[in-house]
Amino acid sequence: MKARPQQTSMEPELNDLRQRLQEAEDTLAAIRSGEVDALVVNGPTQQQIYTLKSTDYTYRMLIESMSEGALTLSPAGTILYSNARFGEIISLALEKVIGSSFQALVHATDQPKFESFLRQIEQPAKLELRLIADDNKTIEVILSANKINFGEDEPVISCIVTDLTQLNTAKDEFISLASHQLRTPATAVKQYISMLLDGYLGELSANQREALIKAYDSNERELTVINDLLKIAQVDAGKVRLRLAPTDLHALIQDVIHDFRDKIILKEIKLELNASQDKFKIMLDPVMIRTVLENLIDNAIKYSPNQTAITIQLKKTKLAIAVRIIDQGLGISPQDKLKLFKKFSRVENALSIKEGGSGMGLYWAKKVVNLHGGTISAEPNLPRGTVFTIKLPAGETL
Amino acid sequence: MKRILVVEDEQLLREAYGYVLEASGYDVVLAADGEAATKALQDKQPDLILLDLLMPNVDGVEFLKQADIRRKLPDTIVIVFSNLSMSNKVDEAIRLGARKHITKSDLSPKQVVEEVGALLK
Repeated sequence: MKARPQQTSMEPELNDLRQRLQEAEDTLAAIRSGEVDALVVNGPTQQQIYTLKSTDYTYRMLIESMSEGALTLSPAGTILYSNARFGEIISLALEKVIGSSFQALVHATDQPKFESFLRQIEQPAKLELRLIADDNKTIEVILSANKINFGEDEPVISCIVTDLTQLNTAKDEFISLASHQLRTPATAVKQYISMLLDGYLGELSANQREALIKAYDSNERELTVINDLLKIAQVDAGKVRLRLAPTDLHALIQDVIHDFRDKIILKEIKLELNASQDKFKIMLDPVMIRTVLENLIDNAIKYSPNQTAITIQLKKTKLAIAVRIIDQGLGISPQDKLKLFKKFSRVENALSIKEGGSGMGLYWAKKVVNLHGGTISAEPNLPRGTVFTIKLPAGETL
Repeated sequence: MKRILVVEDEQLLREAYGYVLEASGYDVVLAADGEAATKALQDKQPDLILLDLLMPNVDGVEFLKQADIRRKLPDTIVIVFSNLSMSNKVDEAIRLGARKHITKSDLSPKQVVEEVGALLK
């Protein structure tokens, strides 16, 4: 039988082992809870550092590999953290992004709305903004933000930045291509139905004619939508160029009204054109401005009940020529007013559903008027109806 | 009999215009692109050319340049088919001798015949 070692001589060794075991257990617990980022291990010749994938590694990777920009901002708008994608969006090295002011990146015109957004944010909210990239390009983005509170510590604003520029370009290209491909067959349908209706291919019975007129009208609606889509794609791509010519705006409005005479008579609408005694000959693109006037007058007629009045006023001031189209129709609610001139927006009411429409007419009108250096707006016509106002720079009267 | 050259790559449209123009008493020659149109010019000079601008191979503007319409056929009236996206091409076509531009999807074949008739008066 072996003699047991004496307890007194073993005690220091056991205590040392107990201590090392406790340390090892504490280290393991710290690693499990993510408190340890790296381990220093004594090697035979030197110390070696092992970094650990911390427990939030997966979250970090998610944020870093996102196709959207991700930021945290201080309540004052200082960028506390940015992922690499945001740096790419604004063409700026990440080390220059972090610590800088987000507001400094915002387009001057959008700064007031960004300031107010930042001040008021309490829950998830979105804001469309234009940023100025380091190469001076304007980048349209959507900022989705939320305020995160940390008890007594200062809150932070978490932001996701979606670059709309690439998205819009791809969408515009798709619309343009799709519209071209759709327009040719629709034009052929129009031509052949027209040939039948115009009697080139023989006499038609009343029923045949009626059926063909329905097919023709339906195809015309399709062509209108396709043409509108194409026009919008062109204007958004900056490919619409004005062909300015000296034009008498008064005569142009009279001409457009003349084209609507059948619709006006059908709805027994009293349409008046009131022009001051000024000269209204200015430089404008008559084809483009005609489409704007047609759109506004057509809308006024469509949304006016029978036997009401539409007044078109034409006035000149020193700087601008104003065209006001005043109807007694359904009017526009304040919330609809905000989206009126946006792309594909349609005001929903019983009449708009019946009348149809692509939601592109007013967006197009705004773009065309803006290209002329003018403005377009809509206000209620109390007690009933809407006033659309176009203001074009008067320039030199020709 | 007045002669009209229709230059249009879309067969259905080419035939539609050809049909109504012939029915209206014109001598019609059809061409599917600028190259075929240039060949057609060697035969007999047209009084009017209906010219699509967007075509494969030789497009409308290229045809006007190659055929040198403005100089070689000063009496021939050229109408080009256009749309909004082609304002640059329209301007160039006008510089090269086109008299008028119309949008295909706006006009029925009968209206095209009326346009042609008005210009050939």
